[in-house]
Amino acid sequence: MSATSKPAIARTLESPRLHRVQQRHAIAVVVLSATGILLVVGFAVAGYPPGWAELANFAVFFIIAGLGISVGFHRMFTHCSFKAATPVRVALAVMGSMAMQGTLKFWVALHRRHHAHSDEPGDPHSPYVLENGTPLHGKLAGFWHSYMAWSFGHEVPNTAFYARDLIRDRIISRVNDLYFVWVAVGLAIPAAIGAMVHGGWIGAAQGLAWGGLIRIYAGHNMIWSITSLTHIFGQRDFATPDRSTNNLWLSVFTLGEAWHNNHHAFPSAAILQFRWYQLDISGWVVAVLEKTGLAWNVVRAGEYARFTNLNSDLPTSGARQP
Amino acid sequence: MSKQQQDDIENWLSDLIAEILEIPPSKVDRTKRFDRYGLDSVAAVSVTGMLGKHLGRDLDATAMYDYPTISTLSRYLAESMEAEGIKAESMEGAPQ
Repeated sequence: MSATSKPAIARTLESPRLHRVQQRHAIAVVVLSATGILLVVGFAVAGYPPGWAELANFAVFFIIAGLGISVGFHRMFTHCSFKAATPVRVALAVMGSMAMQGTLKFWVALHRRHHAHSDEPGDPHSPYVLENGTPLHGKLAGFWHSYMAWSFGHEVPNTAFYARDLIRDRIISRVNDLYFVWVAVGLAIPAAIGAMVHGGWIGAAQGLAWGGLIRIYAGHNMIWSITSLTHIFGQRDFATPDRSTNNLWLSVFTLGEAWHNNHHAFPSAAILQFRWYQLDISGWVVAVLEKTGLAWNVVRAGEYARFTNLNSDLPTSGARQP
Repeated sequence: MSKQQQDDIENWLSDLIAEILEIPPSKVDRTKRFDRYGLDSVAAVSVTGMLGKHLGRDLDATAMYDYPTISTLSRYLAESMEAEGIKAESMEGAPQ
């Protein structure tokens, strides 16, 4: 009956079945992405190049799912960097699920594991070391592993260890369990919009390809850029123990997540715009939610982050919590 | 005999669920469905894996879907272990 008689709850699970599930999911992402590319090329060749409707469909759903991942999955659910009203939490969980990057609880568990072991053994996607501790010497091998190869064979992060706060959340658990429904909704709506704009099956297929499949592919490239490029190239304003970097050129495409060195220095900060030129679209969304009263307790990095010199030491207190 | 076994498993499971939810074990409702506790499929594999290790037997994660509460799963396990025990004893006692 005493807690001591029990083995500790594992951080990762040795489960061939769950490994297979993860692998199938990663393959499904590749197949859907390739289908999207083939459809788009096929349509262009057949005389249906993308028009404004297709590009708008893509942009709108990229932003919807991207904000779900960045504002929702990442800043709110993983790092608890702000609190929000239940409808906002549910909306962000649904929007993020549409990105098809795994269930919310899986995503949160994996990313908390990344922070616990950044660029060290145990990091699911470091350009410098495999999760099992094998160092990655080649630059190309490191890039390839941290870009997308990691998603095919990483350890299964245990949600019962890493995501207990979400397990306790009744409503969010229901949303989490309907993951495949949200993925399907994220494909069906753009297809329906395509059908309405152009009429017929060709319009629907174009909507599906641009607002759904290609959009999912782009969203994965956004996240893969962060797991790889923002640990390889760019500026290190803060001397964090990992090798995270800031990258202006990636900041718009990643909705602000490319200020990754800022993020690793202040993981619980909801807004990563420490200097005026550090564009952080996701941070602006959090600020708007706060202004309208839909979000509160927004954690900011504080004056230290704004006025610190390059390569300064880390603060020992303040916003720097996991 | 089986009742004692069932209680032991129930207490052990309640302690584990309480640890995951970070609530006191007394607050764990043993007749509530596991999915109502927010345990996703990964957490379910974690729980059945630990329970299997504790009992020294292979336990499939699907057990938590077939017997979806602490109380029904514990009863099933206690009964099946008792049945296996009787079988093992009778095998031992069987003439060569």
